[in-house]
Amino acid sequence: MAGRSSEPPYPGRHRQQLVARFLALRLIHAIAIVFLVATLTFFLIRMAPGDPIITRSEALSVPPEVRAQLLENFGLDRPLVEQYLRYLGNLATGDLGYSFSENRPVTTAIMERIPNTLILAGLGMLLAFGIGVPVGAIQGWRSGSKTDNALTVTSLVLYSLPVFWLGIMLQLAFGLGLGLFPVSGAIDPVIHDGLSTFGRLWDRIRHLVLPAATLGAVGAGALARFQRSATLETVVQDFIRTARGKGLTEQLILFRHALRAALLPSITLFGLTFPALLSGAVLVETVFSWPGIGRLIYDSIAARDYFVVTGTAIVSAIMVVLGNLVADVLYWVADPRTRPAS
Amino acid sequence: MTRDLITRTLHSRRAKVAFFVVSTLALGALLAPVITPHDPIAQLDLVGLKLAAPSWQHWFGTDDLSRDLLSRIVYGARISLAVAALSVALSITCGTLVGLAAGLAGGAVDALLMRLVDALLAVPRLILLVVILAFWPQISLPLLVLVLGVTSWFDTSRLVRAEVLLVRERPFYAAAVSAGTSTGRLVRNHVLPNVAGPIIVAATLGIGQIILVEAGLSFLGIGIARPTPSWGRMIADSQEIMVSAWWTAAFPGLAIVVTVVAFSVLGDALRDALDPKAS
Amino acid sequence: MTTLLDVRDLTVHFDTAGGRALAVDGVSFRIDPGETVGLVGESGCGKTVTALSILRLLDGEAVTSGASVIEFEGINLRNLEGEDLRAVRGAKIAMIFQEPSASLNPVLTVGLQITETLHAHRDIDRHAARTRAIDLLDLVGIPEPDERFRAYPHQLSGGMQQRVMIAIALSCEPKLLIADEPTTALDVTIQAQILSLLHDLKTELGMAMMLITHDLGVVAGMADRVAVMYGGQIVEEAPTRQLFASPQHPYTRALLDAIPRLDRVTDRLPAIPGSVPPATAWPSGCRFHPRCSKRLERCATDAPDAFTAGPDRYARCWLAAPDQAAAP
Repeated sequence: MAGRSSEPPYPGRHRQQLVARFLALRLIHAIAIVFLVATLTFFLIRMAPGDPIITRSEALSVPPEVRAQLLENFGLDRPLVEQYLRYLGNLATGDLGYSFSENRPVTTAIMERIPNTLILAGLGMLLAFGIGVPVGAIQGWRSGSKTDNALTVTSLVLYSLPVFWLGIMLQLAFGLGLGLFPVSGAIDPVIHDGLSTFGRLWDRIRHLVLPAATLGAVGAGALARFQRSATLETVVQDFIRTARGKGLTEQLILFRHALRAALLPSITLFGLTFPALLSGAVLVETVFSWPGIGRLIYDSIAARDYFVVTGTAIVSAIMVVLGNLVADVLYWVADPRTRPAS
Repeated sequence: MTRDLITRTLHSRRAKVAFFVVSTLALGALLAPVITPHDPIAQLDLVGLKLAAPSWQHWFGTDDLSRDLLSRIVYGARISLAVAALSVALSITCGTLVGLAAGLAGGAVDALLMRLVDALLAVPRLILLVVILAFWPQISLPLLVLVLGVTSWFDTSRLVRAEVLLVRERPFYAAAVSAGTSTGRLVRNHVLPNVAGPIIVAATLGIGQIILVEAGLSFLGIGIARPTPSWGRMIADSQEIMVSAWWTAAFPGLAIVVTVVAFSVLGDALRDALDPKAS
Repeated sequence: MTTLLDVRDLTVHFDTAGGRALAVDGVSFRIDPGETVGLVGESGCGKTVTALSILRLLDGEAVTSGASVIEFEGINLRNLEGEDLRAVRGAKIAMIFQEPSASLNPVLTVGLQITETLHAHRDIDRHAARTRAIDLLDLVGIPEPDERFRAYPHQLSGGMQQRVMIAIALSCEPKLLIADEPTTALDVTIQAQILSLLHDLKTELGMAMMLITHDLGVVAGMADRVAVMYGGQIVEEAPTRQLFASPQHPYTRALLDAIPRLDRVTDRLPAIPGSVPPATAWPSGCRFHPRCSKRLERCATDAPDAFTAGPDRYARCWLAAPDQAAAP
């Protein structure tokens, strides 16, 4: 089984060209995906029977003239194709529509909250990868041991917990029960503004603990499971045997050979974990009243705020696609076999 | 061979316990009307039994409308298991069909289908489900099954597509086609047997995942309509009262955890039993 | 001349779902300094397990019996642990494997995989290690070695990858090189190149070599002595020329007969009837007897001893016993 014919590594500039071309292609791909998502979202949300501007609660009834006026204002009485084209046009300029419940453009409402979600999801990712991956690697390296078995049970349970329930239990135990951490919001509404800079930072950190722990715990369980099997697959590879045959220390074999290769699959998971964390964020933000886009979605469901839901879906798709791009770059750096030069 | 598979799967004690749990749950769900001590939606005694702690009469206590929690949880199992089993079945079917179509047709059809999958995967699952379901006035069981099934087939389709591509590359494939063998037969004899195993594993694990998703939807308020008991919504409702009545939040959640763990263990055991490299 | 490697009564078994698999049963042989010994046999005969046992590279499932002795320069490798064992691996005894693409770490450069061996066994700084690695790449015939130093395994062809493996193996000038099917995974033309390279290097460095293969043609050109394995045992051992000229064991004879030759006219190549039985169920008596065209009655019940068949050779066969007529 012959490999590729040996060629000298490409000189610097050619390589840059290849990288640029690759990135450009991916960007076009990303835009295509977002376009498809927007289209899907447009049609999917309209599949539900009834009127988008149906009254917010059954008790209120909207007089027909008012309703007609509202429909006209938001262009919801035009033919579907026209609505679709206007929608796409608006999207291209960053206009995601108007929020009924907040009385302002959707884009503004979303942009205001994205940083909060990014912080939460980011921290969740950090915890999930930071704990899950090393634990899984240890399990794979020492498979069959008592440590491995105990950890397997732990990660299995963590992975099977409904994230919103875990949040609630943590609230009960640490927040309300032991009173260690606040259970809602990102900042203390009463005293935050009066605090010093350090005090404000600390306030924010304290509010982050429980929600981030909730997201991170479930993610860590999933990643530990995955990393364990990836490590198990790696340690039986021939090149580990070669390394041992060379007389290298176990430590060197583990860190330089086994882990470098075993960790690669988890990098691909980066791309998959991010959307999962956003889904989790919807639930966690709801439980902890965290002012992010997850909570926004929840509130918008209750308020039947059509455009907000659509807009959030599109924005989250954009975030996921960007996240995937970052993951691809990371994978390049890590695995020489995927680089375009060869 | 199937019997051998079953023996190997249930080899470990862990798997036996999991199988026992799953069977008990399934049986319990089926026989719910018979075995539950109370009617799940009957408000028994708003004065005396509101928010009663767990006791001999009410093993899991009662909620704020004095409904027996144990009965509600058993009935909740019906919804969770039914929705999970049916939507997983639907998603396997869809996924196999799409995977076959993409793999066999190739070219533009394949590219289009794969782009579609990429797009659907780009929206976080829960958010996608919210987009579809949030504005329906009433969410019935069939609707829930349909929507969940139709949004969960991606992994299966990738699996099947990969297998089809693999089979197509083998020399015998060209020979068989030129001899006039129908595509249907080729699929049946060469593609399906190889994907059956991984699909079963994915299905079992998928049931656990769907239960979590369905619970999440119920929690957000877009699950099965009231008053049908659903674990997720029971947890949502418990939020206001959980400080004084922890059991209203704890038990529904534990029910979910136990069920999902059981299915995950079974799925893992199946995967190990199917692995040709297992010692 | 003191023996370099002395293996006595090596016995290895695995406990599998199908029972106890006796992969290697009482194998004994010696390798002297500078010698090339070929270990030949079909798949399933135990030759790879034998090779891996020397450096104790078998995985945890393998059980080596306590009576097995593997003496290298007088020291029993079976008693070495930790640092002492590591000092032997890669430095005194080196090993190369069958699939070079799988045996090299795909995410590390070729150069690093050579220098790390140097750093493990020698007190050497980075620059000296790099220079030596490049010299080694040159020695094994890789063009533009200073550029290849930074290459990754997947950027090289199979033949190049195996040369890299050889470079790694030779980096610390081992006394013994164990080559497990080094050319089986390569194209035929490359095979010849690699074998020729091994031969030249071996002579240049005065290294002993243990060459494991299923291909008699490979040992014909390379080995001083050949041991033929079947059923976990060595069934015949002789200097190469003598083995080819007058094989004593029916199995060896059958293997040789199965090689196509230009100077013989035949309709069909004689194949050995039957197939290798599983290691969990070796036949009683002589393990080869069910497939042997020359079997005697006693072959089914009594396992033959290794009978001397010449000054430097033996065969594990009743036909070679002193009380039998001289083998044809």
